[in-house]
Parts: sequence; C-alpha cells; structure tokens
Amino acid sequence: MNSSIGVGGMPAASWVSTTSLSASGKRIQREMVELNSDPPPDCSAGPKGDNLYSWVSTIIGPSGTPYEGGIFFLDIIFPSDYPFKPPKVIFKTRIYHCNVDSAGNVWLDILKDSWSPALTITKVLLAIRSMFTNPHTYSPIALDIAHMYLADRAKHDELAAEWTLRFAK
Amino acid sequence: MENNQFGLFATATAQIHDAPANGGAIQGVPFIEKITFHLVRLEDGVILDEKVFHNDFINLTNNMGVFLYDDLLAIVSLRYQTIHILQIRESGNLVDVRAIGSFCHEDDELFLNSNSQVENSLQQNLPNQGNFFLSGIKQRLLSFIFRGIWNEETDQIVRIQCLKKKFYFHFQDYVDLIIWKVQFLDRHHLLIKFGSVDGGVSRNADQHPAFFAVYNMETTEVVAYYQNSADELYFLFEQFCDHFHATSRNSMYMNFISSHSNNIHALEQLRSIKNKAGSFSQFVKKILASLPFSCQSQSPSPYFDHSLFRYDEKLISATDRHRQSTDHPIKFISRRQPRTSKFKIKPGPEAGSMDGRTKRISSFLFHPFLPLALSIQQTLFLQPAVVNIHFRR
Repeated sequence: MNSSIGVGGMPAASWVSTTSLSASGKRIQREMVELNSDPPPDCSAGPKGDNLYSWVSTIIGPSGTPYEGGIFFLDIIFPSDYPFKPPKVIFKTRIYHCNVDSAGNVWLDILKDSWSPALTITKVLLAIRSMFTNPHTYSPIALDIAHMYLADRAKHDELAAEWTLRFAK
Repeated sequence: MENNQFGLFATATAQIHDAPANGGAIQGVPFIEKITFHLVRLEDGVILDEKVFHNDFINLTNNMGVFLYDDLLAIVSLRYQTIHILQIRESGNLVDVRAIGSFCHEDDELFLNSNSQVENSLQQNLPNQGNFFLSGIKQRLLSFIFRGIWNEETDQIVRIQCLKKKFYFHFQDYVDLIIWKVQFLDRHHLLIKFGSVDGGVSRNADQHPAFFAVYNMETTEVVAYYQNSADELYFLFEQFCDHFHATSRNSMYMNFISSHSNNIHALEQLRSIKNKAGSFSQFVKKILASLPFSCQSQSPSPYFDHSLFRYDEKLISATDRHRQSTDHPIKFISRRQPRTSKFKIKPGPEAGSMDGRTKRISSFLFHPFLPLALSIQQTLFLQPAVVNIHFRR
C-alpha cells in the first residue's frame, strides 16, 4: 500500500511490522482507539494505508459558519518522537482562514510552542474544529484575513463562504 | 455543426517517452512537443482556427482523448490532467469554455489570484507550494465518496470504522488516480474514467482497476461514482445503452446505431457472451471497459443494423477498429427469409498485396447512409496503405 511519506523524514521502509511497534507507534494506536470510540462531532480520521504515522482527517464545515457545506481534508503527519513533538497538520482542501497559510499549513499555538505530550489527536481535531467557529485573530498567519475578520466581518464571511463553495464542495 | 461546414483535424509531432515530469505534469506519461487542432472550412479547405497544446499528451488514436458533441469539444490532457472544453462557434472560431482539473469553475483561478493572501515574511521565503492542495476535480470526487460513506451509516462508531477501512486506508490510491478518458453524456454531464497512471497509457487498460464518475460541469458536482466491476452500472448500461451514446442533435442518422438496448439481436449477442463468461464480475469489467465511448467510433451505416443483416463481428462491425484481415470475403446475410447472403466485401488479395502470407490489418469506414465503404489495409511493415472503395452492385 501507500507508504510514500516516511516516518519523521526517514524513508518509509525503515519502519517494520506492527508487532515491533515503537513507543510512538503504540501511543498513536492507543489514540486511534480513543478517537474511534468517541469521535468529535463532524470529525473523522484514520491512517493512510498501513502507515500509522501518516493520517488523513476530514472535517465537515460546521453549520452556522461560512464553512458550512464544505468537506475539508487534512493530512496529519506524526513525527517519530511523538508525542514529544506535535503532529503536523496540513489542509489538502483550500480554505479562507486566518490560521491557515497559503500552502495549507495550520498555525495553531497548540501545534507549535504550546504543544504538550498530554494532548491527543482527538484534542487536536477538536481544536481545529473550534478554529472554524472562532478564528484565532490574535495570532494569525494570514494577516489580511484576520484584519478583514476584525474590520468587516460580513465581508470576511462572504469571502470564506465563496471559497468553501468553490474549493471545498 | 448544423450544416456540416467544418471539419476538425489534429496533427501531432512524435511522442517522447521517459519525459521528465516538470511543471505540474504527472510522472509516467509521455509527451508530444506539439499537438494542433485545426478547424477547417470544408468548402474550400481554409484553416479558420487552431488550438495548440505544447509538451502535452493527448491520445489521438481512435479519438481516445477527444470527444465532440454538438458544438462542444472535450480534449483530455493526460499529462496535465485537465479536461479542456472548447466550443466551435458558427463564426469559425475555437473558443476555450473551461478547463476542468486543477480547478472546476472557469474563473476559480482568477478568483484565487485576485484574493491571494498577504502573509508574514516567514512565509514568503518558502518555495511555491501551490500544488500541495487536491485538484478541484479530486476534491469533488473525494468529498462525494466521503459523503456517501458518511450518510450510509448513522451510528457514529460504525461510521468512523467504515471510513477508516473504506476511505482513509485507500485515500492515497484515490489521490493518485488519473483521468483516463472522457465522454459527454449531454451538454452538461461528462462520464469520466479514472485509473492508475500505468493503465492510462497502456493498451490493456481493462486489467487495471478503474472508476467511473458522472460529473456535471455546470454545477461542478460529481453526481455518481462507480467501480468498473459495479453491477449497478452494468445493468444501467444493459438497459439504457443508448444514453451512453451521446449523439449530436444535428446528425439524425446517428440515432440508428444498433445497440443491445434497442435491438433484440444485439441483446441476444450480449446475453450469449454473458452466459459464456466465467464469472459475472469479470464479464462486467470486460463490458464496461468500452466506457466511456469513443467519439465517432460507431458507424451508423444501415449495413450494420442487426435487424437487417447478420455478419461476423470478428471480421467487421460498426465499431471502428483495426482488425486482422482474412482472404475470405466478408458476408452480409439477410435477417429475413430466405436467409441468403446479400452481398460480400472482398478485402482479399486483389486489394494490392501480392504475398498472401504477410499479415494485413484492415479497417473499414462506411458512409453513414450511402451504399459505399472504404477499406484501409496495411501490412505490418512500413508499406503504404492500400485504400479501396467498395460499392454495392
């Protein structure tokens, strides 16, 4: 199956079978069980093929937001020293959002400096979902979008809805 | 067009294999330096307009990569994974209507460029990462598949298990699918076949897994999606085959092509293949391999009407294809009593080749309604082709 994305930058072939899982692998598997037994609303996620370190997630644009009706796909890449380092989260669907850069990278404090090994994939998904309803305008990566949100909310929402219609349907 | 005043011709330079995939091109697809579509006024042969594709790959063999419907032309760029929709205007112009691939709406790219984000200096140092997003058509396809699984299950836990197994596990395979072939179903809907890169350029495409999607290019929605072994699509195809033959409004006689949905003899033929087939799913795959149909691949000549004549489909059929020719004349036998041979076509030795042992391939081109046909015969060696005109005496 697919294993094009290596573990923490290493070639995919370097991680072996599921029987000799590393500590990070075990942790990811545990989080997968937790996520599957109690998934956050509008969210789901799972590994691509048999590579535990490379996941895809889908978030349905929450109703009542300009992202309503959109289906957003995200790549979640776990580093080999997870959970000591945060996972990398990248939108594969274009989105108009002040916390997402033009390459789709999510810039949230909990995925950067505020990461804690106590956080889990479920909590990361919840944080991203809440980002749809409440953009973090105090720490934006896309400054113009944050300015628009604060200065002209109606215009911001109109644009975000148009992006959803064009790119996230 | 309405009064058959234009002809569309394509020319191409030689194929280059092992081409590096640069600038958004996909790996594993050869390229052709220059492919030109010429719009010619048939009355005097003047070229009215041209559309040129550079360093691209469009499969021109048997119209595989192009489809003409009314005044709309779909051209599939295999290399850049784009379906170009062009319109032939009454004025004699070829006009770009839309390009489906990276984007879905005709003004998506313009919209994106006019709304480009101004970002921190941190960002601007990064190289161009524009291609990291799913293409427009893939986003539509994946969200359609996702929604299907999501709505099928109402229980949260079962649903997420289903998604994990059926969707996320195969996600990269879906992402890696490429557009192989396209046909119009009507002015708005396209039937698109997706498959792996290997199958896109190989001859035995039916050996590879493939998927069909019906895409509405006006609403930019995927309206249906099937695997190439789907019973459901097969039954639709068996009953409503004529709906897959999108025929332009202006060529009435195209409505008279025999199919298993409008002709009892053709249906019997299909049933006999079905009964002989080893497994039903193999049979479905084999039959669905003919989709999407190639444009102008079926001759509407009444000689191929199964209610009028019986003939050996291995030697000749309404489908435009190269066949190995035999020295025996091809018989057309009347369906009505007495079931006698009505006429024969002799592509045989008098057609030019002296040596009866050399293998020849022939193809036939029947006039849509007049009683004449062309046969084009080629030996396997690079000798000039022999073209014969056959009249019925």
